[in-house]
Amino acid sequence: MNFNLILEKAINGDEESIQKILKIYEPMIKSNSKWRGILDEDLEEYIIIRIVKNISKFKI
Amino acid sequence: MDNFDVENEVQYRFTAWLQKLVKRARIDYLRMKRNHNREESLSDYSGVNNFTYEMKLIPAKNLEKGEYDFEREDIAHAFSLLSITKRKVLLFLFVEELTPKEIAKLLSCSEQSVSNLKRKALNKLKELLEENNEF
Repeated sequence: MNFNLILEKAINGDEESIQKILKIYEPMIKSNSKWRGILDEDLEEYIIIRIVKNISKFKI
Repeated sequence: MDNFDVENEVQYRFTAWLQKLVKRARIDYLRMKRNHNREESLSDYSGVNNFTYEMKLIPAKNLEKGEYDFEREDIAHAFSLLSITKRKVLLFLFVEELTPKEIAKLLSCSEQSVSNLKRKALNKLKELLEENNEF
């Protein structure tokens, strides 16, 4: 798996690549989506949306 | 070896960047949840009405499989970003036209929870559609 290539495609808006990136970082997303030890689905969704909206701003 | 180092460096930078973004998002969300108590009319935004109309046209089987062919791309995209539970509630309400009582039974939750999920799902859609129109 070529991370750079996937990331570049994700930055350019390729949905499949974005999903792959989200999958790679799923543990980080999940751990930050807990509130009082319980997974908050709304928070998880909020974080994912924030990532999807801003990923194009990352400069390789 | 050089290529590996370069790729590693990019992943390292991206991970650090992502961690900051995720932490900021978490703080913003929790702040909003604590302080924010807004009641907005969902019908203020016609996008939500378009969505509920389009949902009625999609066969239930396709939605369960995650195959939905909304006419509007922005609606399709917004819908795909919802959590599975929220998508299910909208599916049950607008495609299968179940009552909140029936949905509560299916999801093993209270009718109030179904009502809350519906409100959150449509609010989220509205937010996503409005944000989409800003760009």
